[in-house]
Amino acid sequence: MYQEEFVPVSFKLKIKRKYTVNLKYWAEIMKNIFDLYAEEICKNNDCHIGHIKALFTGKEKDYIKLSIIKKGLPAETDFEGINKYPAIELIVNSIVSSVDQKMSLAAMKSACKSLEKKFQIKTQIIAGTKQHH
Amino acid sequence: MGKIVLATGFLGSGKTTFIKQLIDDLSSKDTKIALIVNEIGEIGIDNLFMKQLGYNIWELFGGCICCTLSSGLESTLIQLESEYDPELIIIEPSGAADPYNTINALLNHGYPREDIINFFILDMARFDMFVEIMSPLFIGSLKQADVVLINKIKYADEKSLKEADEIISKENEDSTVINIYKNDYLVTEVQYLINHVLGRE
Ligand SMILES: Nc1nc2c(ncn2[C@@H]2O[C@H](COP(=O)(O)OP(=O)(O)OP(=O)(O)O)[C@@H](O)[C@H]2O)c(=O)[nH]1
Ligand SMILES: [Mg+2]
Repeated sequence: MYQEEFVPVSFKLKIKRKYTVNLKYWAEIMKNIFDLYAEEICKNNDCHIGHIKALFTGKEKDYIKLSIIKKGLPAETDFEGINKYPAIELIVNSIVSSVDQKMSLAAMKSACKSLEKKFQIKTQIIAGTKQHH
Repeated sequence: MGKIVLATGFLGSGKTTFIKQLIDDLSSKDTKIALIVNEIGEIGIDNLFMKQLGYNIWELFGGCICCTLSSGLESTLIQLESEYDPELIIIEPSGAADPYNTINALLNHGYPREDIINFFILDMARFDMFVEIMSPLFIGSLKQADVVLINKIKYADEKSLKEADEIISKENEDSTVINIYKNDYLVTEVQYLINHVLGRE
C-alpha cells in the first residue's frame, strides 16, 4: 500500500575499536551513530521514518538490536549477551520516505566520521548486500 | 490445519517484539509453533534476529505477502503443514501492507476466519502520522483487527489516547483493546485470547 513511498535501503556497517568492549558499550556507540544518521537524513527534507533498524549478531545468542521510528526520538537499543567484542558488523535496513541509497550512505558516512575520534572507532560501510537464501 | 496468529501494524510498530513475547510464552506451554516473517528490504533483519535466538523460521522473500506473494504464502503454508504440522502459525506481514490481502490469502487457502486471530499493533508514538497522512492504511488495518494492541503509550498524551479510543470504537467496535508493554511478560488477556483460538480454555 505504501510500498512505493517507503523504499528500503540495506547496507552493512563494520565498526572496529582498539580495545574490546561489552554489548552495552557497543549499543551506546550504535545509538550515537544512528541518532546522528537519522538527524542527517531528516535534515533537509520533509521525510517520514518508517523504520531504521540495525542488528548485530554475535557468539551464541548474543545480539544488539537498534530501532529509530520517528524524527526526534532517540534510538532504542535492546541487547543480550555477556561476551566482549573488538569489532562488530551490523546489518542495516533503513526505510525512510523520500530518502534513497545515495543519501543514506552519505549520511551514514558523515555520522561515522564525526564520531570516530570520540569513540576511537574505525568504520566501514558496505553497500548493497544481498542476503543468501 | 493449524490456527493462525497475525501480528499486523505499521513498520517499526512492535510486531516482532510482540511475537517474541508470544513465542516465549507458548514455548513454555509446549505449543508447536511455526513463524513466517515477511519483511521488505534486501536483508531480512527479523529473520536473522529470530534465528539468532534459536527459533525456527519459515521465510518468505522477494516481495510482500499482501500483493505479490500470496502464492508464495500458500506454498509456504502447504509445505509447513505437510512437513511440520504446527498447532499455531504466527505470521508477521510487512508493515507497509494492508492486512486485508493477507487475510484474504489465508481464507482462500481454506482457513476459516474464526481460526485466524489478527492482532493489530497501534504504535502511539506515531499516532499523529497515522491519522494525518496514512489514514487509509490505518483505518483499513483497524477494520481488520480482532484485537488492537496499544503500545508505546509513554510517548502519547491524553488527547491522542482519547482520540485513538474514539477512532477504534467508531471503526471497529467489536475489537478487543489491550495495552501492551515491552520487556514484560505477555499480558494475561492475550494469553486468554490465544488459548481460546487454540481451543484450550
Ligand atoms: N516502549 C515500547 N517500545 C516498543 C514496544 N514494542 C516495541 N517497541 C520498540 O519498537 C521498536 C520496533 O520494534 P519491532 O518489534 O522491531 O517492530 P516491527 O513492527 O517488527 O518492525 P518491522 O518488522 O521493521 O516493521 C523497537 O525499538 C522496540 O524496542 C512497546 O510495547 N513499548
Ligand atoms: Mg518486525
